[in-house]
Amino acid sequence: MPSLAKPFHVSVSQDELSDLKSRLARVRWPNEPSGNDSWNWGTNLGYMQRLITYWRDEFDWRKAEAELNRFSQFTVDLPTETETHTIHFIHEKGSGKNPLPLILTHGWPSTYREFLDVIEPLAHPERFGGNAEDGMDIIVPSLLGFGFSTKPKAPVGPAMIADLWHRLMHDVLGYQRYAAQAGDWGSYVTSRLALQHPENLKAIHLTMLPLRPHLKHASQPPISADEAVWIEKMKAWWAQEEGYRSIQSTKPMALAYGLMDSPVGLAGWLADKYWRLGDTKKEHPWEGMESRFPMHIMCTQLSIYWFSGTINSANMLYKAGPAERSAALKPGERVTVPTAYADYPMDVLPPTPESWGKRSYNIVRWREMKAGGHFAAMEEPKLFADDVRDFFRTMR
Amino acid sequence: MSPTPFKIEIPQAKINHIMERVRQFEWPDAPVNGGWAYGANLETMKTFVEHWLHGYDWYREQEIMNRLPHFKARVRDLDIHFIHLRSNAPKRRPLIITHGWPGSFVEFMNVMEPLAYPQKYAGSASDAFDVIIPSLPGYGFSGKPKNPISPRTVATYFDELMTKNLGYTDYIAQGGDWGSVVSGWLAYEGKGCRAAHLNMFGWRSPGVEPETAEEKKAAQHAEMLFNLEGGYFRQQSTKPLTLSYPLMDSPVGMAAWIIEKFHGWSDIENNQLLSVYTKDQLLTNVMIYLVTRTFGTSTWLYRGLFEDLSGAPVPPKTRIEKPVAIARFPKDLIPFPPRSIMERHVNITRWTEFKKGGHFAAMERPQDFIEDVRAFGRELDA
Repeated sequence: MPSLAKPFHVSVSQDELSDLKSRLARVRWPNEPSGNDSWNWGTNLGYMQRLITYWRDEFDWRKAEAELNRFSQFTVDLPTETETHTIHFIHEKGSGKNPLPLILTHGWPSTYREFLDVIEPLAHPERFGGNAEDGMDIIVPSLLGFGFSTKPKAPVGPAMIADLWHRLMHDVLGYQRYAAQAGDWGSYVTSRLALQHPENLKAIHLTMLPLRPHLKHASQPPISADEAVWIEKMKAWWAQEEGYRSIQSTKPMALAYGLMDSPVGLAGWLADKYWRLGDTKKEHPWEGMESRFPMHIMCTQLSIYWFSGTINSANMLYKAGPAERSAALKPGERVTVPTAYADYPMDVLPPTPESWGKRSYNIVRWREMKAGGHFAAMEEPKLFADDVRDFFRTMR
Repeated sequence: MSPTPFKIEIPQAKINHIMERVRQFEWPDAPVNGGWAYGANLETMKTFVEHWLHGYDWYREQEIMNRLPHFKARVRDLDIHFIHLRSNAPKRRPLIITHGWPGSFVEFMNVMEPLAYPQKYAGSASDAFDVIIPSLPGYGFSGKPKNPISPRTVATYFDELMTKNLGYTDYIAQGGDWGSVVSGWLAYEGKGCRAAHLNMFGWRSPGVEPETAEEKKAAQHAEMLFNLEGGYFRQQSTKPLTLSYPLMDSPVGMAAWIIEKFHGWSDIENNQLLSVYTKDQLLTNVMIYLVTRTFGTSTWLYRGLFEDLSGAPVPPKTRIEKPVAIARFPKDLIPFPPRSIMERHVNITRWTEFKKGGHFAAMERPQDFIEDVRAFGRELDA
């Protein structure tokens, strides 16, 4: 039991639940352009109406709450020069004689719920036909400004969050050396953790490689033909998809009023990303979406954002990250900590060339995964857990 | 089809429903001392909501708007709403004024009557125009298209409105924002259009690139501005529907999205919106979007620009040859580039640079706007 950390249980009041239901009941729907089955113009209206009906009439928050509370959760106050941040995290002690500590960091628009189905398989492999000696101590924090962590007074970027993570792992939980895993914004934080505290990191495992090499430095080979193609594909992809990033990184407060006032709006804004970034079958406007992201999981994710009132502080990461320039490596700088990359076959983002990853990371393992997208731990929990466990077994 | 008179009559239940949502609004957190740097400023929005709840009266505003002659006319598959002021001048000088996003006919409340009836406003009767102010398709009281359409297609509706429904064969098109793009298309290919008066750099001739150092510098500046300010454009031109869920379900959310633009694009003093606008003006413009439930369809124009490619391609470097007046107000999202490059886009017969004013020129600088349009009308008739 960590001494500085206080136990935490998710507990939403009946008033908040009733307020949510009444807001869901009085929704004002937008018009949808005809022919939007492929979500071409944005979140499909038919899907939204099913989701909101489910959220209002069928979703059992108390059950979701109990699932979250199945794991020991804590909060800890971490004072900084400007303010004290309170970080919320799950801490599940692993099986075996010497469990490796592993911190898993979610991204946007996700929450710590993303990892709920992989905590037990990673902490207690023997319960799933594996070896107890592969067990890990699993730490799953809510990013600063997300879920049950506090909202910073001014936006805080991944480099600063990485230092908070190190204090959590090292100072609060007493781990001298530990491992880290992440995707999306979590991969920025984890990459910074490896850059800023290499002596404390045994290894990292990423599903996204966010660092950008300083290409003009002598250590960098010229851009290869494969890399050039990939860069062009990424540019074309972003040209279609950058709206949310563009507004969140420039004027998050223009969007915040609507998202904080409307749970339907929140759902519409976020569902778009699950459809596009998840490994969702797209032949039908909602069948593939609902089988990949079951309604009760979507509603748990949305409810965490809604009840904690964190969509705006979460969006602010898009303002804080670029301001901090935390993804840009300095000339010659590179992650030296052993790094595994698991490439999930998202159907929209073109796969990163291995040579590109090696420019910024000490890649020791590169895996093409069979299924799953941007939310791998939610989408393919078994594949994800097996891959992460296999990698860290070699890094103890 | 001849137009039918129209009155704005919003049921009390609808207004109550909107006001209930405004009353129940829950405020987001804002970064400390963030000003407007992160978007719509929290303190300002609180003063607007305070006024909305305790000072603003929709029915007073509705009554003022209904003193104007509103009509709807069927143009092909859509009902087009418009205000139509007929001057009593012996010579008919029709003028169609097109608003943009996030505006409405409300932008022109202080200029339409002086333009139609100058003699009532210490002007000369010979300056009078027949003034037609339509609502863009998908905006205000006009019909909503089934799918996003382009500004060029909008121009075909308005040209038909002017020539077939109203019988004007020699009108002047005026516009800013999307209105400047629509007016450009009217001047380019509208059958009844004789000239255009533009207060934003919207219509562009394909293939015209900056050449001189001054032109290149202006293009770089415009690109920098767009990177800082273009978030709304990128979202609305790619995934308009995704944005519509939060903004159509939250009246204050929509108000913040819109008022942020009035703050960013207007020539205000000391960062104070109220140096130029009244709260009533801005809230009525927002209310038009709310009572008609048109926020979503209003953003479709940004998608329509890219996906509705109807109309014969414009040959590279073809310019608008009909007479064009450029009214260059200093503060705008997309400032006019130097005259040298504008000459390659359009046939400029009048170029006026104003010392003050911004994107919403008719609201910000009504007298400048009126006098410049009148002067252009006189030049055309000279």
